[in-house]
Amino acid sequence: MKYIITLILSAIICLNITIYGTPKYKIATKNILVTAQVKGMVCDFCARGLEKIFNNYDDVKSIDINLEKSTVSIELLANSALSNKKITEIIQNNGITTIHIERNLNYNSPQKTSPKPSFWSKLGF
Amino acid sequence: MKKILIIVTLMLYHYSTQARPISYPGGWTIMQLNNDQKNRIHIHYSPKMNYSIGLAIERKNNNQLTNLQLNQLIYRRNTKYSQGNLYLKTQPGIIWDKKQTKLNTRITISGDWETRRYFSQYDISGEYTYQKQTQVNQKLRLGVAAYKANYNAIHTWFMIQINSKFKNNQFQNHEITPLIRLFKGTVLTEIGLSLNKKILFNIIKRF
Repeated sequence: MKYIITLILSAIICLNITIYGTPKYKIATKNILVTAQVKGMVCDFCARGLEKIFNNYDDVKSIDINLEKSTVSIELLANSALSNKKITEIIQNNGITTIHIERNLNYNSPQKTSPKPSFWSKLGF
Repeated sequence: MKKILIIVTLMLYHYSTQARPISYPGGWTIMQLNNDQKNRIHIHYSPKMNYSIGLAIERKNNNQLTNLQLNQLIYRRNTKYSQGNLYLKTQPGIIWDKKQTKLNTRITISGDWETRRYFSQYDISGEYTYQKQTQVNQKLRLGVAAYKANYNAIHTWFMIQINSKFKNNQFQNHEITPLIRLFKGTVLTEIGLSLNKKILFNIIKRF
């Protein structure tokens, strides 16, 4: 009987290691990256409104503001309907002037790393 | 204890008139300004980038002034490395003291120009209290950033503020205040000590 129980427990543990033992650490997706070159964005406070407004859109995945390069980079989901014209308008409505805007339709979204599984999670606990 | 709680609450949720008087579209702002002469709280809403409407309450010399405030961005000039603004602030209000109530109006023209390294601001305001007095205040601020900080980093500025006051066409005084401005994200703090040993302390919160 002990032998059977040991076999069953070993099988469960092995099964769990098989399921959880080969986790996908990286998930890659293709999105749209819109980069706007702007002028007048000289302080952190000036750019706060941009972050807040763009984050209200469901199809905006992330926004990156670079004061050094005077750029606003907006990562859109692949099916986003936000046009360059609309993005320029939003930036303009926040008091910042867009000089140039470009769209990368084949943007490799930064790869997300899932937390490394612990020893116990590998064992199925 | 209640007073301390109120003061702490205000400190946590305020925004100074030293920063831009208009927020982003749809943004609410609560400001508080504290110095040796007055304590002021101002709540405003910016429907668009070029104006804000609000209510301000100010305590000064045992008087309480309550006024509406309309801030308008008259002109903005953006360049790749700088931004310049011209604002008009109109504040019709009522002043209460222990004896009576009077109408009060203040109009301010404010201009600023800044880069990531340098900051300058000049304000001139005229204040008229019905059958009482006319007061003109000027303020000049010059600043330099300790380093060029990027977005979300801690920004550190060294500034000097010069105030001069005229009451009924008579010069009153100058006040020179060196100060440090620190900000990160939506929180801005200013700490200064004037040459006359008067403390300036502002905490700013934008939301």
